[in-house]
Amino acid sequence: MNAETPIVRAPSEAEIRTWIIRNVANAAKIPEAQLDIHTPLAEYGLNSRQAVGLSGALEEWLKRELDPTLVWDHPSIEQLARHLSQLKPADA
Amino acid sequence: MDTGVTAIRGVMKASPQARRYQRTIAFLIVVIPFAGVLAAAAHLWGWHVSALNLILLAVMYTLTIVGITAGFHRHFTHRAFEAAIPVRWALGILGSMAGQGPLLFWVATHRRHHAFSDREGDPHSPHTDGHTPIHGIWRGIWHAHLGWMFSDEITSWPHYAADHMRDKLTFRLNQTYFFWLFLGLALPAAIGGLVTMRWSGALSGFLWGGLVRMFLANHVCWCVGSVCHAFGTRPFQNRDHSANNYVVALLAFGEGLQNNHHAFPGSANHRVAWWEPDLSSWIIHGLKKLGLVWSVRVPTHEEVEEARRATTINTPAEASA
Repeated sequence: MNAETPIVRAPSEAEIRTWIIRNVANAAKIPEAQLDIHTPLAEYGLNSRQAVGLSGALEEWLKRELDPTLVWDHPSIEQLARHLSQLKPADA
Repeated sequence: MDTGVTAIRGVMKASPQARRYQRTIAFLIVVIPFAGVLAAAAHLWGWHVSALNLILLAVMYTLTIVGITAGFHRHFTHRAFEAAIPVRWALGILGSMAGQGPLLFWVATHRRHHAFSDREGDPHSPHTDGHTPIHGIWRGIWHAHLGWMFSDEITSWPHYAADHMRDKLTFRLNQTYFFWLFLGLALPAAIGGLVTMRWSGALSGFLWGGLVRMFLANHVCWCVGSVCHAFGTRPFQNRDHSANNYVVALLAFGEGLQNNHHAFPGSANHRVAWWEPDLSSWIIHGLKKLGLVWSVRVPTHEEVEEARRATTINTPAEASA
């Protein structure tokens, strides 16, 4: 560890997944336990406005620019969490 | 959001949940203002409509139609002019108050309309849906007017409006849509209540400046998609059924000049002559004089004449076919 290592580490894939599950459950008004991470989010009734809202909320949480088409490109919770955890710190 | 693909580019089949949501919103936006009109008619019958109510109706109608025509349509969808940030906000807020859906939905739907224009894939054409010999054109008119909102298709935002998804201002306007929609109903109610200092004044302000206004403005705008793709003159050959209807043009601040618009979709003017009814174009040019908008795109006189010439050459062959 050198002095330049950021103190705040990026969230892990599992942490991102938990965050997305909580937010999707909230938006779609479905209990967290009923969400399947492999199912496309649209099947839970998440509409386009909520989908862009999700990428906006993720931007705020992860404190980085994200593509608003994110949820269309990675439609399930698992795909979304994996993609976000693999982003390099400088990636947009 | 989408679950299934369709044969049409940028159009998806809605999931059952998405379809239910879309239909509920469409039902509310058609039925609630209509109920408001009935209530206002009863109101009119019982007492009399005050000058204040008519002023609220006229002002809110004008503001929201400007928001839709100059804002949602010519600025955001077609990028026919650039505007200062406060002007973009104002146009976006006024357009949202009209209740025709969030900005990204409106832009994506309208760009899809131009991409397919009276062919399979057009979200609201009187010529693509329900053409049965029994009902004839009226069934298509109904679909193009408001039936299309109950469709089970979803227009892809990333496909048609990716530029606006990445624009922070339009993104924020889109996400705050319902706030502005309700503000557009609360404002005339508040003014009606404060001027008269009565609850009944607030109620009638809500009815006339809110629901009656929304009913009139939305039906006028929907006429652009229904009436103006069926009835009117066609000075330009556009390979679609777009027509200039001067009655709709007067009421919709220029949008009824649909044949001109489909000939020059990127133009800030829907008129091609100064005398054609197009209030929104005058507002845009007025804002330009004030330095609030710029890069206003309009076709040159030569481009208009060229398009006219092409039409006169092609029309006889078309008519005999």
